[in-house]
Amino acid sequence: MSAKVQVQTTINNEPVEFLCEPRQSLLECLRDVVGLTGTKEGCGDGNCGSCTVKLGDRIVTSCLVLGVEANGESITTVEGLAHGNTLHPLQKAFLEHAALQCGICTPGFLIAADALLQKHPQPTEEQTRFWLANNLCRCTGYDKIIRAVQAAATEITTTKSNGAAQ
Amino acid sequence: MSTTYNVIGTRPVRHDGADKVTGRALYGADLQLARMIQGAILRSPHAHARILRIDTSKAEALPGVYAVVTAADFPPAPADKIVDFGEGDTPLSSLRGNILASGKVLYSGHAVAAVAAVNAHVAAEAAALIEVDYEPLPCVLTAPEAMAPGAPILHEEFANGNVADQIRYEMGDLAAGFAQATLIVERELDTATVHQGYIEPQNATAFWSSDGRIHIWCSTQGSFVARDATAAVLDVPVSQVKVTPMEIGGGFGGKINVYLEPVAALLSKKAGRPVKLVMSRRDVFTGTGPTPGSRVRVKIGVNDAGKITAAQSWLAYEAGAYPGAMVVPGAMTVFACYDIENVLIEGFDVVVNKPSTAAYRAPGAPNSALATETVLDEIAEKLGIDPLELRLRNAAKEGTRRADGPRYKRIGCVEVLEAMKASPHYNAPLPGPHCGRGVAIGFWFNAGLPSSATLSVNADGTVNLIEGSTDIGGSRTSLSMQAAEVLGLRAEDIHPTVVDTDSVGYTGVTGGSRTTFSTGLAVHDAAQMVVEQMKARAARLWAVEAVEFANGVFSANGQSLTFAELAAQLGSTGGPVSCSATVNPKGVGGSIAGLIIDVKVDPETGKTDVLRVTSVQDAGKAIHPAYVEGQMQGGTAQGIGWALNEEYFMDNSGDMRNGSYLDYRMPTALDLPMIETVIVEVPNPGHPFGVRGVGEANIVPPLAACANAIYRATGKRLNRVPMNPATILGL
Amino acid sequence: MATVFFPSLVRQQTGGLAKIEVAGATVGELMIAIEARFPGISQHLLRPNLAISVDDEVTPLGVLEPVRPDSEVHFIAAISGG
Repeated sequence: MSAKVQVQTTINNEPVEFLCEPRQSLLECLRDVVGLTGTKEGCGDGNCGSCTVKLGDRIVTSCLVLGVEANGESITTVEGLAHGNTLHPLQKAFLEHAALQCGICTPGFLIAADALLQKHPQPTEEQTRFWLANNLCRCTGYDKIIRAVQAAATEITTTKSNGAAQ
Repeated sequence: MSTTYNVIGTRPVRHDGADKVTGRALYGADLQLARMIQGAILRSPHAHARILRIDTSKAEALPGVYAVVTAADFPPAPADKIVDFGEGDTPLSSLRGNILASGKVLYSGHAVAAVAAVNAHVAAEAAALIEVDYEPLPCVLTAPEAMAPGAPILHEEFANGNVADQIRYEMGDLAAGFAQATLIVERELDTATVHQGYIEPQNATAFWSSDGRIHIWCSTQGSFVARDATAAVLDVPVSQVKVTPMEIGGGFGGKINVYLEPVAALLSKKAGRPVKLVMSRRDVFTGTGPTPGSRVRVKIGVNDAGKITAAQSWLAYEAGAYPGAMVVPGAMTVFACYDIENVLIEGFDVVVNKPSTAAYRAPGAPNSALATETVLDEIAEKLGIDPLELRLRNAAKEGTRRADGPRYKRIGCVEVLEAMKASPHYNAPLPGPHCGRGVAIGFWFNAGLPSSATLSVNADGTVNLIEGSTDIGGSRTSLSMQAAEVLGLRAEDIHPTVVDTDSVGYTGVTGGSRTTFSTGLAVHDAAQMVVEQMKARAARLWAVEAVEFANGVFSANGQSLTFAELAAQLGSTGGPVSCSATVNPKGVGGSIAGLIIDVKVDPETGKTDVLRVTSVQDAGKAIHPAYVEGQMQGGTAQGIGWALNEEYFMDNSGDMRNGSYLDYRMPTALDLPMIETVIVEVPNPGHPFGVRGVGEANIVPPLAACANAIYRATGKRLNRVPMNPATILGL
Repeated sequence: MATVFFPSLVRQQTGGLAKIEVAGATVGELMIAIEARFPGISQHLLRPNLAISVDDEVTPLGVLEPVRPDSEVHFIAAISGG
């Protein structure tokens, strides 16, 4: 065991300070230290995408980032997607399109898809599949996930253009 | 039959949806308890070895370690004790042996010892300090090798070497049947060991209290089966164990067996604290139950009219370290889609030095259907008949006798084949060169088994539903919809909760495609009891004899009350209404599924691209069509992964060389197109709404459909799955 | 009389006989008659991993299941699934 290090972060728009061992992954810190268990561990080696979070302005598999690396950074997890009790359009679309079965991969997909829509507000099916290829789902065959992401993209752009028009 | 429903057949949002998209839903690994410590498992590096000595003293001495256990910590029990918890008789020694090895290790990854420590890092360090002396033994990795004379023997006590069990089905006169044939095709195909690949690793937390009660929190397909298995392994009465099922991150058959629960309990007993065990991904691949690799021979004879005159199959499935390969259902389903008079089927359950195998959606059936459905494809081509037409000429119907004895009740084989023929996909041209289209069909029995449910009416007109089926794909909602249909309410008016084993009547696994059927039946029956009790309240209120109930309204002599209005008056008419039902039903309806798949095979690289897929399945009645589609799409995607790429790549020493998602390589979003679905509804007469169950049959056709598509694209009949580039290029 | 079918591998106990017609009101009564004719056969048929099918449906009642004079009884593998 080694001495713990103090880490200062902003998690889901709130300042969060925590102590962790240098060997602890960001995923472990989020789940076991901070208590945000919405981010899931499926493999521990960066290949399933269940632990995807936004770190600064990019998405990472948090099992491959050390907790100490998050010092001074801003982090968004699935717990930070909704605005209060209003679900994010992606969250709503996942529910309406039955894009989850067991739900264990859903937090990672939501974070990855949110980043996709920020970069490509109206992604093609190919762009969506390519972007989400680091997130494994074993229940759905991806069909309903892709449809949900595309529906959310349309919803977000329509809302924005309606807002601009008014 | 044209029954109209108000709720059934609609697509409401699932009741647990908001929790699952906001990260609030608690899965097994998310559990945090006061004073909880964490564990690690030490696993065998050898595929086959005698354990000479285990020294745990260095691990025990490491600061932060609370407990170390080995097989020696199981309470003493008679060596020949047999346990049965609803899945057949299993020797306690095998059940325990797979959880913590005793005497010998039988596969690389076999659990040998376990540690509980202040955190998972210290537990892993301590596990590495346990010294185990092994005497390595020669290993055997495939069924044909294990059946050969002189093969290394896994279990010296077995009467027939590595053949643990044998099955035979025969019907009619095989020789006479083949004598009538004008064309006979025979093929032998191998499949590799594959894993269910659920994204959430196995986990279990246990607390063995000072009063003797053992509380388990885990991700399981069946909390009661987990309870009963844990009690059997620990040799305690079932009432001493309480299992709280956490949310479960996929199962597909792989989360029925227990691996960690009894170990966590033993560690907790020693440590006096709650102990959490969570597997790593490599542990999941090497230490849980994949589904068997196999060798299957099929020989089919047909006459000039394309009618099958005789069919024969020989099947050998790799059970892994302990008996129980899925060869029995493989043998039962090999010709189950067809009406054949003369049949001989022989199956062998063969132990090998690989992880002990487990179910995986329709276990055993994809392996055998691969052989049957590719042989039929070859026959159709040689006879110049459309492959679906050939199947239609031989399709099983009501009254067709299966080789294992029973005759089908109503079965949707013809309807599924007709739906495939009529689909836009089957009638569309292929896009270009190096492309091929394959079709195949498959059957699964589905299961009944006991289920329980309790409905309690709230004064605001909603209803609480208490049930014991762990919800893997939206079953809270498909069950609530059945209650709502009977009660004349909306799905949103039912509040479902999945509870622990102390809090609801016995309920079998969420498996065998049985939850919507069997637990649905319990919910239906409980809802009918609620209606009867509410009618009696209305009758009391109105001082009448008979009360009608339709579309959520109670009425008599021109008076009426909605369900909610009457619910508000329960307190003053006799008190709350709460009804429970437990069923153990007959009337199970099997399901037929079919797949049409277009592929393009790159002639230079041998890579197969999936261009278009249509999955067709008889649901009986789709309660929530989006969830039925989801099952079909998921099973299809898994089947395509099995067909084209997935396998346990074992080296000669029995070590799995691709035990990570990077190297095992399941299909990603980029590997698949949209998966079109056609839900066929041939109602099951054994269920009030006609439900059959849809979780499994959909994985049966993809292996053969892919093989047939690759043949049409390349001209090559492959004899091995996965049909990866190396297989396709013949490397 | 109900017809009881013997699984292929149990036919060693019946001298190769594939099925037999016996009288009885329940599967249990049929089994008593069969056991009298083929002593010891019950242990090959009444096992936890075999389910009893009466008139093409697996019965949770097992030997207590009533049979009709034209019933068919099979002993088939108990399968649940994944």
